[in-house]
Amino acid sequence: MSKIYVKRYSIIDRLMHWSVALGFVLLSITGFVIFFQGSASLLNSNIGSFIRILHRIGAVLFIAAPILYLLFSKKRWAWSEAFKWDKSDIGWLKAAPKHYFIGGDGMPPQGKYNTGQKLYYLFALIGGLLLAVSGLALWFDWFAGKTNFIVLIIHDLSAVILVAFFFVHLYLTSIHPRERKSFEAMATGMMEEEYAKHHHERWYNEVKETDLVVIEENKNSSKIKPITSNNLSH
Amino acid sequence: MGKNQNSRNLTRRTFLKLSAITGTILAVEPSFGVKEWAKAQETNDKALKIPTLCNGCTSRCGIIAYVKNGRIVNIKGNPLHPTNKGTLCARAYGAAMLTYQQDRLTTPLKKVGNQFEPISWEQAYKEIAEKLKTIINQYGPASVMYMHNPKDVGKFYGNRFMNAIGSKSIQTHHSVCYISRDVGLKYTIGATPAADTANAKYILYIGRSVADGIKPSHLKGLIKGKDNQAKIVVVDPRHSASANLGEWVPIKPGTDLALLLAIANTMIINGWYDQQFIKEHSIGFDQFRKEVSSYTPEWAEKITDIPAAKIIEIAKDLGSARPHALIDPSWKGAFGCNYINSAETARLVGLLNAMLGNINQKGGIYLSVKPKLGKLDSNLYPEPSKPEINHIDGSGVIGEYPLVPEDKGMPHRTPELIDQGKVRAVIINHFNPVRNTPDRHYNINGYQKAELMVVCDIWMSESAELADYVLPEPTYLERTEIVESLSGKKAGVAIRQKVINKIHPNTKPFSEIITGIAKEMELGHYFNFSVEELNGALLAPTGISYQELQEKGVGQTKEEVEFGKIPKLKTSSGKVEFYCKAYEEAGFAPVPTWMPPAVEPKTGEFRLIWGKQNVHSHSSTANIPLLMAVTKEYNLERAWMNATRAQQLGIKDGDLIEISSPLYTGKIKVKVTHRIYPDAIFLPGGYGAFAKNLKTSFNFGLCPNDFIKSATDPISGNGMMMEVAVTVRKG
Amino acid sequence: MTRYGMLIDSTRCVSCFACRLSCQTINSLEIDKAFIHFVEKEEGVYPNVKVQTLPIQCQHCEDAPCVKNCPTGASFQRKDGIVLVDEEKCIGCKYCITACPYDARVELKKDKLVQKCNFCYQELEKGNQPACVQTCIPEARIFGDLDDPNSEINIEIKKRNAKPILSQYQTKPKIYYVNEIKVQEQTEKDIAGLTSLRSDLIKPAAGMVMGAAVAGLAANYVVATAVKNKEEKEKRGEENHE
Repeated sequence: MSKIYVKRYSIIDRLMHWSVALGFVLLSITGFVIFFQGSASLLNSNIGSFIRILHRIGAVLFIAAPILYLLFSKKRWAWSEAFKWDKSDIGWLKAAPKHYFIGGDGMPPQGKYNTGQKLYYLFALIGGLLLAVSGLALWFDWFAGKTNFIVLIIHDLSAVILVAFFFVHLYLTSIHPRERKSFEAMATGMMEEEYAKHHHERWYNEVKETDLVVIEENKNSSKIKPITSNNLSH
Repeated sequence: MGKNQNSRNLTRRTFLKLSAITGTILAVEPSFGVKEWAKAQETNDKALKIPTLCNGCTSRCGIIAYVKNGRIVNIKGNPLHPTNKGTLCARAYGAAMLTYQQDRLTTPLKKVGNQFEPISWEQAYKEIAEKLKTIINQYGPASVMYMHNPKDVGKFYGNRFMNAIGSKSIQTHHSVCYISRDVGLKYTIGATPAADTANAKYILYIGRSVADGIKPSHLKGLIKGKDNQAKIVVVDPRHSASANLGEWVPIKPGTDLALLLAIANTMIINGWYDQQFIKEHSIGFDQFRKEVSSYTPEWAEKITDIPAAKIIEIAKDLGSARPHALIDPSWKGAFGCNYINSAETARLVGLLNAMLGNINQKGGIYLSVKPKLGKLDSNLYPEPSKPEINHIDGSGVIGEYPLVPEDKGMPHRTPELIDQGKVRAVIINHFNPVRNTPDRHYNINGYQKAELMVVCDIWMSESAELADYVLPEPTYLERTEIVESLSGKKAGVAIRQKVINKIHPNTKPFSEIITGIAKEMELGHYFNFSVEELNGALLAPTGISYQELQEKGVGQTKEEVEFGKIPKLKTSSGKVEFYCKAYEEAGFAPVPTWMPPAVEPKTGEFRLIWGKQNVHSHSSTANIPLLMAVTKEYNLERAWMNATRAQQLGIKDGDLIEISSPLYTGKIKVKVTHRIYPDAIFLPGGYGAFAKNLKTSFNFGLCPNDFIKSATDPISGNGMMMEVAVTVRKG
Repeated sequence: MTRYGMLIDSTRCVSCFACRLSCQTINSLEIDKAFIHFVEKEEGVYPNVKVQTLPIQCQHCEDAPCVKNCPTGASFQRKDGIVLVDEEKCIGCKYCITACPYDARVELKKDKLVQKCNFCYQELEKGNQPACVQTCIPEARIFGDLDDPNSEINIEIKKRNAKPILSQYQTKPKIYYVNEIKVQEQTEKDIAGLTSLRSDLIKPAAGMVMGAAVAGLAANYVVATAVKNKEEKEKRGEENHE
């Protein structure tokens, strides 16, 4: 049996994503353990210091991965997508509640990222930047007194907002009954042709000539074959 | 509270940190958990509490050392000690760290070529003794000089040794400290008195800051006076730490004498003085009256920059508060070692106090009483007699420095005496003349030529660096010294005793060092006693047992000042001397007269003035990291400059400035302030170490001595350390 | 009740640093770490000039922002009003340093924790005064019970008109100062409002926002799953029907 997939994420894309994800999860768990009084009161100085070290490890993953990506990936400007909005996005936003609860069509055709993804991307970019900069300021004592406290509050707020959006992201990509395919895409780099056509029509149309692959699934292995005009006419 | 809260000095981390000796202050024990904490508390209470005497400066306050497992864990003031009554200044805590100082000397050293090599004590004693014998044979005993900051051990052992070899060449640090004060007061009222500031109604300080050069009893006295509503006036070119406690009267540096002459004149003209006392207890007042009659407040205003009206006010207030009014006898300050006219200023201080009729009056000045101590039985312990020769540096010698006390000498003159071949060997104890007397190069060049230089110290000071033999001492916490006398309103005795064992076993206290050298010189019979035997003999007449003294650290003897009763003064006439024969015979004005400072800064120049800071005792504490940390955190090494003058020169607070005298140019950050006379630059006294093994203080800050040319005041023999003009520019 | 406080008379203080050093010694601090620091203020023009030094240390505030900001409860206040740091619980997050308007807290790098003046509570248990009070030569410090109207400290506070410094931050400090020169109001340090904002608003709100997000998503899951199942059922039904 064989299926057609669209190449969506390169290995570098995925490495970046997962190290940020790992860093972020580490950061939010260790951060909120200290942030919320209830959990913090259970700490002693040794565990607390350990948690603070973990938080810094998370911070390094969270900050270093995008920086490396920006420096070395050919797709370094991909994030600018998040700032490109048009009429179809408004249509998407109108149709989204119904779509995500009940399903069905009526969603305007989307590019590589749909409006919801762009929105999340936007928050991740701005919030992540705020989080990172405020975090570094706290880590390295850039400020003192009131300024420092304001920085702390910025850190708190950006963390809370990002985590809330992170829940949505996590849910839609891996839990939501209809949308789990995008999790696979980030895991394998491939997206089912069917799903891509349906959810990212405009993007699919752009890349269907070049980025389709056939994956033959045997019992033990799968073979990836680039799609040529020969095997396209199925 | 069952919790292990705040057990700072009990956690394992703390302990680990402490095992690195200099990392933290004092040692504590490891402990974990709640039970251990309670236990540690218990043992903390069980720490040995041993009284001894501080070494943060030379005031020797009583401290109680808390010792646990052979380490000092804390110190507190000894409440029984009259000097500090349970309090302590910052230096005490810094000094408590000395024992664990990284820079300490651990073994006797001998200079071979340009390097020091460790040698045994036996070798050191032998070689030093041999060289001393050769020098004495060849050049006579007077060519052996003993220099020290005189404390009881150094005085007893050092002077006894010098007597034994037949030399009178003993110098104390006084010529670069308060010798002028002592000379001036000796030749007017017979001795340097103390001040009963606590009971005074009017206190005038001339250049003395009891809050900068802290002796706790002096500062406490001022505060008690303040509490009793005394009027406090602080005359000083600099708004010192004491000035805030009273009224600051800024004065042009070096002109205190003019102020005091005008006050005397004003008091006489207006009858604001104790005429009966003067009639009964003084000589030469008429000559004095005649001499000062031309020193009007208006005259003094031109010289001192103090308004005539303020001078009259001071004279009047002093007069109306008498006899509960006083002029503080001071310390180093304005009439210490500093100016050519300092001895005359001191004479005026003595005479003005006499005019207030305040000698041994409550709220006046008083002549301290000393305890009567015993002596070693000379039948069992032969005592060398004092040699009948002149002091090699001319102190007390007619035709040279007749008024300079021969037991004090003039250490700043020693380099030239070495240069002249008069001094061949130098033994230095508890003193660092190379750094602490004027002119670095003069000192280095001089001491380098000495045929034998022996320095006893705890670290490699500038003087030690030049020595042929450096003999390491244990710190004050590791040694027992001899019983010492406490003088004051009530007399007493105190003792410095060993509170911990020697950290560096191959160090020896000065008493042992001198005994060791003496034995090698066949003079051992003069040192055939232990410190304990000596202490027993000293204590015998006091009725205080040695054991009791060791337990309490201090004891009171029966002598007491009789207030209200005027004692027989120790002047040659037994009275206050407004006219001094000794001065006349020495070729000086018998009645004090105006004498301008030797150096007058030209327009645009500044006079370099300097003094103590309350966290340091000159250079002796600058190498203590704990105290230097304060200096660095608060930039205490900065030079002070008047804000208006700074503005004219385009200098801002914190700028680097360059200070130059004909001798030296140095750069330092500046504190721009309104708290200083416009034509003066103030430098703190203790920085600018150049001994490279003093790792904390090396090359940090400036030392005023570098700017000053070595000179001598002919009257009192002071080192004229404020007689220097400097130029300043942005650095 | 006992409620400890201190009076510092800066008109008697000669900035000799003895308190700092005695404190460092009794607390075994590193040489460059101190629980007492000094603020010097010069006023006037030569020769009419005054200077005053304020020794500043933990003020043991009744409404201590450090206690409020401490996530783990390491900073706490005893019944007698002394604010302490439980070293077993301190994780070194330094929020308290940020929160303290008096700069009274010190990060002990080697220990990886934060400490401060503890009013020498261990000395108090032995019946002694705090080390800084014991050592002070000009007797610029008085320590005692603020709840006892006849205590020396209460009498002297009234007599000398001593007042807390930076009291505008509403932290109710328990060190009273006698000073002739006004301490510059460090607006930089006015963070009492922010402290309350953070602990009383942001923290609960954050919990709610995150809770709401989870709840919303759960609701979506339930609805979307139900709809999907229904659709699939219908689909299967249709297939069967065919």
